[in-house]
Amino acid sequence: MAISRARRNRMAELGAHVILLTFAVIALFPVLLILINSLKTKKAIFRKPLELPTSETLDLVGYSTVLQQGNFPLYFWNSLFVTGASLCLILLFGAMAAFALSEYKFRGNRLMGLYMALGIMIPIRLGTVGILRLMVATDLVNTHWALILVYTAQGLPLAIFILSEFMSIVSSDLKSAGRIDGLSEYSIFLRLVLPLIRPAMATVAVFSMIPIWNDLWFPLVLAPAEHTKTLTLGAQVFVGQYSNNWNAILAAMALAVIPVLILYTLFSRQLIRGLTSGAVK
Amino acid sequence: MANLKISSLYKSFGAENVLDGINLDIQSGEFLVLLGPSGCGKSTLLRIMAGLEDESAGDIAIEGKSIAHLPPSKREIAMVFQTYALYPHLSVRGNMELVLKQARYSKAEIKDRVAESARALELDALMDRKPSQLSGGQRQRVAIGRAIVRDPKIFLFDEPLSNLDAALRGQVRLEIARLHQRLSATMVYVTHDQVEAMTLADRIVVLNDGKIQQVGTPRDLYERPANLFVASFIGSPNMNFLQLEKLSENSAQLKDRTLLPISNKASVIPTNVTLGIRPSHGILHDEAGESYLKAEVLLEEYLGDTTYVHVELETGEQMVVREDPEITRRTGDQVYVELTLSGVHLFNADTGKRMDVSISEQETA
Repeated sequence: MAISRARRNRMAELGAHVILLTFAVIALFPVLLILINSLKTKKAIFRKPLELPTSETLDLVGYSTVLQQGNFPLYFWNSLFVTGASLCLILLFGAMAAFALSEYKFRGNRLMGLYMALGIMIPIRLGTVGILRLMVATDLVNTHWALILVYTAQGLPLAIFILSEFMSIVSSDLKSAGRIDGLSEYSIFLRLVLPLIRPAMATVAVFSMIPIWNDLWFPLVLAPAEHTKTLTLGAQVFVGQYSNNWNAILAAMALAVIPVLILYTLFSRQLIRGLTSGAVK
Repeated sequence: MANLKISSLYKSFGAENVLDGINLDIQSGEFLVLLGPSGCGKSTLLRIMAGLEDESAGDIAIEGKSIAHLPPSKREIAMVFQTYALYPHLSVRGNMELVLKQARYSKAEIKDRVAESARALELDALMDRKPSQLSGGQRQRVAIGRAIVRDPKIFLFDEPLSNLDAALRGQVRLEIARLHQRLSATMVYVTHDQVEAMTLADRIVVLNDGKIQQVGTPRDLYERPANLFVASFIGSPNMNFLQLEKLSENSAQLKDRTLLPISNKASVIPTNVTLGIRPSHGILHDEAGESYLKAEVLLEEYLGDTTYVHVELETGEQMVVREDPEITRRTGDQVYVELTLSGVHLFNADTGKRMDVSISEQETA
């Protein structure tokens, strides 16, 4: 009896792993394809797209084009700066708003929460014309701040929604104890509550980061100047009306994955640590 | 050590009155327990004392000075929570030091005070551990230690034992009692557990529906409950209640026509009267006798040192009677319940208020 149950468990485990592996392969296949083909000659890309680069087909022309042409290091930096700054602002203001909504009882609290959550459902791109006018009027066009402000606004609704759920789980006794011990509301927020919702912060960071990093629309509209171009916009120079420089496009895409990968690993480790720390009883 | 005075305190959430005109004098050095079922407003009252919640109306004063407008940290109170509420990122030492650091004590004094409290609660060996590395009982000791270091005027306890298992509960309860003896500090303790209330309290305040039902020593509450609510809430198993058919000047008639030689001094005798009697004041007999109530055994609960017998009277009313565990009863057995007259309580069934009872001597003879 015990043996058969153990065997059945192992079968179930195997089944789960087969499903997960299949999913991983499907998800990773395009990425792999990009990586492989970014290392091949143009002919090889089209003739045998699934083949690994051999000594004959190996060609780093894509990477050399990307790194030599234009300002790719600058584009890289622009993307990193915009994404990083937006993330910081989203997490900071999102957490503060969530704390206020979940901790303080005031008139219109629920309405305010609903108003904030509306942003999840309405795509910010609908307001592009208005945003552009605003940026022109405030002289922010072609600056990093144009993008950072828009991305912060775009990320806040989801951040507030997720974080306020988590904040309301944090023991109210803990906050009360802080108040009795003479901690200010800022200390309670920064020193007691934030460390306890680190996993939620990591989740929000991951959810917010990827659309910002991948966005083409707002860089194109708000900051197309050479000195503020982001990576996704910069890579567009290789996309022509009649012919595409596939080597360069694939190389740029392969390079663009790296920072996201690093950030993701960073946050997901945080996420796991947060979940296993056992900080709350 | 300080006294605390609460005068005509109200608290409402929307249209609902959670606290409805509370007046309370807490003596210096007293251990006062707020007892009541969940939702009676006892925790809200404690949180208002602490300043964590605002009162809708009324005043709170420590030693004659109103503290109603002060933030929690300025009230010179300390609070121990049900969930311990230790700061998870700080060590035991850090938890105890925090309040003193916030109050800008000198380093030497912080060290002295923390060391002293740690010694008193035998926490010395745990000082560098994080709360997550402590057991439930240890965590609650740290929480108490954190309250002691600040040398507050009043200690507030919010159901501090509810999260502990039964064995630890008794142990920590004893520690709190010893702590009160040693510090002779004013303590206010909220609980829904009557055993905690009876064992710890100098005085108990029974709350229900936001109103004070009775204030008194544990003995007062048990022996002379002021109303039906207190009578039913204090004591385990609960007091039995029987409806009276008729109450006259020197006798009480039960629904099954049994006459009890009880008199009362009420000038106007209410029509609906409830008789209350604790399980320990009933005696079971095999044979009928004068003023005995005929009953049938429903169930026997054997607890080792005592047995509780559940019986059903002819009127359909049920009673619990305590009996010697030597005797065993079977379901369906015919028994006769004698009510010990000294243990009889009478309540006006309409208002719930207690009525004075005395035994009519001439009829018992």
